[in-house]
Formats: sequence, C-alpha cells, structure tokens
Amino acid sequence: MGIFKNVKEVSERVNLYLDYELSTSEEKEFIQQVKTDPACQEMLEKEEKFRRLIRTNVPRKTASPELIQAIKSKIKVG
Amino acid sequence: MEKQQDESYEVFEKEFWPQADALYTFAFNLTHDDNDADDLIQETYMKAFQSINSYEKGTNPKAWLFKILRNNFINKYRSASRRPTVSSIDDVILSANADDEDPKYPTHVDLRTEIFDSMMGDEVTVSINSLPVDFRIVILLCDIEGFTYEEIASILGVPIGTVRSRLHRARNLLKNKLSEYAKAKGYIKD
Repeated sequence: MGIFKNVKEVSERVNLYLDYELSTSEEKEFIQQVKTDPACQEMLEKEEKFRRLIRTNVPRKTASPELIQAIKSKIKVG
Repeated sequence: MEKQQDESYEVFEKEFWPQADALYTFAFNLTHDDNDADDLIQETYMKAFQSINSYEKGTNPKAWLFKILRNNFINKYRSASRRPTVSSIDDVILSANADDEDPKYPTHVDLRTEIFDSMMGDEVTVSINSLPVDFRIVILLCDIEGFTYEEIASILGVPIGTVRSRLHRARNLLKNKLSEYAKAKGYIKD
C-alpha cells in the first residue's frame, strides 16, 4: 500500500484523482505511487474501467428544436 | 423594462440555450420518459426566465440551470412518489447518517474483472436505473456531466463532504448491483 495506510485510503485517493479533486502536489504524489505500487495501479485501472462502463451506458440525449422553439415562444409571449 | 427583457434574451442565447442538450440528458435519465423530460426542460427554462434576476451573468449557467431542474424534479416526482426508485430512496439516504465505517457501507467494493468483459449494455443501464434517485443524481452529475464536488454541493444544497460520501456509496452500490447481476447470469462464480 506504500504511503497509504489501508485499502480504504487508496480507494479514496483513486476516486479523488479520477474526479479531478486532488491538488497538483497530491496528484503528483499519487501518480508516483501508482508507478511503484502494482496494487494501487490495479485499483486505478479497474476504477477507470468502471467509470467508462457508466459513461458508455448512460444515454446522451438531444433536446429537439421543436421543444426549444415551443419554450422560446412561451417566454416571448409570457 | 424593454432593455431588461433584451438583456434576459441575450443571457438565454449566450448562456442558457447552449445547456439544453446536457439538461435534456439529465432530465431523461431521471424520468426515463421523453414526455416527462420535455416537461422538466420546459419548466426549468420558464423558471429560469422568471428568476433571471438572481442569476449573475457570466458565472456558471450550467450549474444554475441544473439546480433548477433537480429541484423541480424532486418537488414534482418525490412528493407524488410516481417512481418506485424515488420512494425507496429514504431508506438509503436517511439511514446514511452513519459514516463510511458503517459495515452496511463497505469502504471499497472490488469489481471482478470478468464483469467488464461480460456485461451487456442493457444490463448496465438497468443497474444504473435501479439506483435510488439521489444516488443516480450524483453519478449523473459527476460521471456524466463532469461537475466538480463544489458545483454538485451547490446544485444539491448539501456540504461537499455529503457529496463525497454519497458518491462513494452510490458507486459501491452500483458495483454491488453489477456483481449480483453478473452472478445471477452466471458470468462470475462466488
């Protein structure tokens, strides 16, 4: 686990890293840790795959031009 | 008066309309229904127009509109309990005053590698949709829309610590659901 005390700490750090919530110095320290710690690297890779699984399976939608036009008309009339 | 209205239209053109697709994606993934999503979007923009004086031009239009949409959704659907996932949320959230050490909420759920290779898209979507709505909301805001914890805290009206722990629990719950699904389908063994 290197600089981390336990799995919970590594897991927290991995999540903060992927959520872009680490400071520059924390990020540097974490990347260094990943390079030297296979367990930490594995956890990061799995978490990245998990996030990708979410992103690819949540449908992206588009608001129809008709809907936007209808709202625009209501705003202008109201 | 006319000048004020012109300014409002300008804010809509430059800052609010460009958020329509992201808002629609959020609305659809909350309601799972195109008509309900249409209604939510319409109500969100009408509310934005009515309360435009409380919006500070050039700040964070996306977060501001998402907050309106989320509040609208919660008021409309939670009070009516139209969605089964909505009514079940309180069981999860209200019992979650305990911290992360609570054995009910594991600190880390290790997802088996086989899951990534075997899960079909529909199965993942079903698992995501079956999450309690407050958990689904944080995942949508963070993982799909890329909001920061601070922005999510502002949208939900909760402290950053709550966002962090809710996200943690939401992701672990989703991992558990995916694992259960994979076991039931025989993709992985105990």
